[in-house]
Amino acid sequence: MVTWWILCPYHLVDEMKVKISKKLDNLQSLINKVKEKSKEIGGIAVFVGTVRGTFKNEKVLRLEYEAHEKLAPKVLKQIILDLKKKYGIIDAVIEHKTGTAKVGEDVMYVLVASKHRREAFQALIEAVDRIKRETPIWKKEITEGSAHWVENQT
Amino acid sequence: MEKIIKVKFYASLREMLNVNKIEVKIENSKFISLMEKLKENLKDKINLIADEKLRLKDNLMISVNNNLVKHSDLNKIELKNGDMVDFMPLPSGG
Repeated sequence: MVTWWILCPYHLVDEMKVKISKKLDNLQSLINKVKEKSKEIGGIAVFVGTVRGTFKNEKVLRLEYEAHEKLAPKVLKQIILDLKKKYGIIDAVIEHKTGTAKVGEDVMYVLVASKHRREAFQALIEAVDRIKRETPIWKKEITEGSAHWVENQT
Repeated sequence: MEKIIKVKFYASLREMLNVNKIEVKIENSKFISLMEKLKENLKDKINLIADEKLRLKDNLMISVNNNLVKHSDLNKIELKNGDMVDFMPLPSGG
């Protein structure tokens, strides 16, 4: 966890953090890092995406995530920039998993820190919606009976 | 002057086309020239990415050198030798 935080160029440039990786960082450590950003932070809204165990009454075995590894971080960075401008949030972190994910596994963390809860919740909802709609990441669902790419739901 | 364009397909598109990466030689810098060459390469499967007039399908995204390009801007782009053009299905992450 420490490694990416130090090396991530976004951290150095504009305090934004995005990560697309086979391994997500520890959630509590992400919360702690965000808290350190400002004494003005009054709350951190967190979304944790996990792998659901069923698809249309079929048992899901695992998900396979693929990302455009150059473009996806750029899109996530733009989402954070937009949300900062729109809602005045103090900071945000977005991490998304790639590769294989088993049922129950965490696959996405979105953290939004702000002075007050309302803008944090609003920005969090918009962030998650935009990540799913705009970020070049795709998932293949492997169930007991089939393997299929999940289609865009928006 | 001839230009070599590096084309990559992602996720479901890659599997349906059974193509990961190809290099395409085009004579000019227009996106439509790339689509014409892709039609020669992909044959009938071109209909997975374009309509009969070789217009990109609505359910795809395009990036050039890792920058997203709006469908409405595709006819404005000037492709250069060595450019990377990525064809992607709409996102389904999260």
